[in-house]
Amino acid sequence: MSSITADLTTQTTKSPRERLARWFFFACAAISIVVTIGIVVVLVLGALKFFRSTGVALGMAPGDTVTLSSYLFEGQWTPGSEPQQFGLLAPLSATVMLMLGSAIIALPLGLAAAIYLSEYASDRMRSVLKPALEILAGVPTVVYGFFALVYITPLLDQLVPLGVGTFNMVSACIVVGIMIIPMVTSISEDAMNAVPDSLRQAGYGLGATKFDVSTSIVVPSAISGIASSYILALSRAIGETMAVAIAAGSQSTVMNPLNPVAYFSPNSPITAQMIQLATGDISAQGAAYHAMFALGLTLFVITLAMNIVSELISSRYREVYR
Amino acid sequence: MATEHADTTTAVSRTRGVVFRYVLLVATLSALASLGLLLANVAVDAFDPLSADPSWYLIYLCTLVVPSLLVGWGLRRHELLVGGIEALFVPIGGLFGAGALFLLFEVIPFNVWFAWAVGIAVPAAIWLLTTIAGTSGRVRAGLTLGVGAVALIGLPLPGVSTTGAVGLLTMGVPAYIQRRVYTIPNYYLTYLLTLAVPIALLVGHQLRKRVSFTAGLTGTGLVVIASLAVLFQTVVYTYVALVLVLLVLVPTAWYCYTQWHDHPADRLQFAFPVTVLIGAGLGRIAVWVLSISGPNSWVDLQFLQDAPTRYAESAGLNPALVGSLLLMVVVIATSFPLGVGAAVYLEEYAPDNGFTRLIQLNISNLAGVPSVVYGLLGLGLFINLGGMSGESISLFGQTITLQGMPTGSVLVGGMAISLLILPIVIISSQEAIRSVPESLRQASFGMGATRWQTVKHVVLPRSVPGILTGTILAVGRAVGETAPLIMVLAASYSSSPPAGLLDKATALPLQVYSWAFEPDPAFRHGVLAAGVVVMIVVLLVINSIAIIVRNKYEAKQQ
Repeated sequence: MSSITADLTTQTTKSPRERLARWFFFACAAISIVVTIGIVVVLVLGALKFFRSTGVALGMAPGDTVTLSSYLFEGQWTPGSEPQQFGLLAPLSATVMLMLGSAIIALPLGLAAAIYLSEYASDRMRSVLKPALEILAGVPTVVYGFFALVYITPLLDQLVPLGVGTFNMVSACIVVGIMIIPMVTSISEDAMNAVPDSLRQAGYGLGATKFDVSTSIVVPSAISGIASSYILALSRAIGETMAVAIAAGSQSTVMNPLNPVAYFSPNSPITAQMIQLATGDISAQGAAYHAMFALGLTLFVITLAMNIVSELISSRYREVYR
Repeated sequence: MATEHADTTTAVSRTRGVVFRYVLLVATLSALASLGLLLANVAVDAFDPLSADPSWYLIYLCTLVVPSLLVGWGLRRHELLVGGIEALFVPIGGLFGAGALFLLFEVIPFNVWFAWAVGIAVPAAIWLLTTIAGTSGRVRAGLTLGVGAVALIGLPLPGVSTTGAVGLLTMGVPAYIQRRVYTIPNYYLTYLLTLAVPIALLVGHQLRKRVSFTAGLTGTGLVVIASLAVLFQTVVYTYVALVLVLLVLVPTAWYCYTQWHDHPADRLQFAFPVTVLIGAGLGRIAVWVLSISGPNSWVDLQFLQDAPTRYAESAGLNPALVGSLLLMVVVIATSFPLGVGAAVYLEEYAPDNGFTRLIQLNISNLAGVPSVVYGLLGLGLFINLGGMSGESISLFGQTITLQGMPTGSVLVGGMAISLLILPIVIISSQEAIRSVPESLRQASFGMGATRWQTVKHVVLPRSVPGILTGTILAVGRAVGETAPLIMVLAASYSSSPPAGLLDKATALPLQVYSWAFEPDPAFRHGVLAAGVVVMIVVLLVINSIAIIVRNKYEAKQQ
């Protein structure tokens, strides 16, 4: 006892030990800011060296770099062969295809699962289904890539009349879609659970069936949460790397994302192109090396924008119930 | 109620509602079913169950499956099945622990292991002695830290002789033993001294606390006898047998003893593990006597022990296992303290101002950054130092050449991955800390405790289960991460196990990725599937550890 009281009298808020603890914990929290700054600095520095106008100013050889406009508006992506061309439109079109394709799988299934879990499932059913759905997000992405390449592609090859190639977008879209279902489901279900029961009771009081209540009351009331879950899930799909790097091939060409036939051919999105560049034979000073950073910056900006939009939607248009 | 009335008056149909309900159910289950089908495909490819003799299945059905099901069903009626299954997990967990230890022994040569164990024993002994002597906490900590530092690193005195007792002081114990002691014991003796002795003492100490001094002495004696008895078998290497005895036999015996003693009413639950073990043993003997061939599985001991080769039959993933283990060590060592520290700051210390909100927003945004970008961060920051690597700067009149960390090393890969999982660790730790009732903090402050004392004695002990569960789940995610590793490796990965933290990394998902492009069907449907199975098993083990930790602490806190 005496040692405890002695401890208490010697230690106040201003004691060195208290200050040390406070500064240690603060430093840990500040690391997250440092990481963000680190990401931005590394990506921007690498991308600046990639573009001709800034690359020359930073002491890079002009032949090794591209202009910003040719990066943004041209559609030839050939980092491995002469002449090296870096047109973002090719990998970007593949990324859009990946986003649309996985959205067709994940958005309806994820929303249906959310409605089922929130409105229809018994407690027992929910306690089984919710963790089971989370498993879908827990399987490593490289395993999903293996599924797409070894099992789904041969299956599609038999089902599709014209056949599909060894590498194709559709199998990648299917596995990425399955992977992001839990994201849609968990956030949408949270939003539906936040809809107060009084609204449902009012619906039943007016003579509505469970179907009417679910589709006409719960879903519209939770629409901001559902929308934000969609955007978050799609930003996850865009950032998805290994499954597409394995299943979608290594070449990027400009394709029309709205053309269903295009999905049967290979097309490598931004993330897979980065892996392609990293595993290729590149030197640390070449244009291909810095192209990784330009692609990374593009990806970072797109996903960050989507995350912020999702955040804004869920906070600004959140219906406040009391 | 209202619907029944509506049914009779208007054209509201029940069919639509029922159809809708089942459409929803089918949609929910379809994703799960597709994953299940894919996993079943992997299992068929990896284990090749059709290659087994039908009588093989018949034997195991008779000896293992049917008796286990019958006993399990019987125990279930007495609600003892859960305890029985839990008992079965102790030896299985011990086997995985022994496997992890063997992988670790591949990285650390036994003489280095021995040297460091002796070095660590010095401060541990000081701490024990001061505890027994009853010195105050400050003196004990000072003595342990001071003597420990000298024992492990030594005193850096330039020009002083490095031989004899003086050498022991200047070099520290581990370095001294590695350089000056020429009679280092063999594998078996090293592990006997460094593993068996502490475990025997621990068992004795626990038994002395529970029962009596004589019981403690008996327990220690039994462990020592079991450790020495492995010398008389010729089936496996003696050190392998020793590790198996210490990590499988001793914990199982301890678990059985405590359960048998503490829960006399539940003793029947041991019927289940005993049935399973005896059934498996009988089946094995029957298969061996009748020489029936089992399934020609791709996942076998050879697969776990060998390095990857160009031939499917001899390919293995041992280096990848070692690499993943080392990566896990780096990830835990860096992300756990940082993540918990940040969570403590945000929940306990942070004032409610703009900067705190900025950190919070920033953390949730970091969680959404694609993993491949973290790889670029590792590449650009740790290896190229933001483009500054190889350049010279002058600082205080001295010219320093900046040098990034070696490309593709375990350390860089692990650090990139731990930055990736840091937001997950922070967010889950925050939730755990938030769940500690405010009244406990107020009570602690009311007794005059400072904030740090409250955090140390009240908040952290209460939130440990949540923090550990969240961290272990995040580590599970880290094991499957591939993209950051590929980015920092930059096309140069090795097929031999890493010899240390600065050596070239290799990891389970990297091995799977590189096998994915082998055109040979034996690779595609055999080796690759086996690699995926091993990876999924590792993930399952990590996630079950998280569940066990949570259940154990929850039971304790109630």
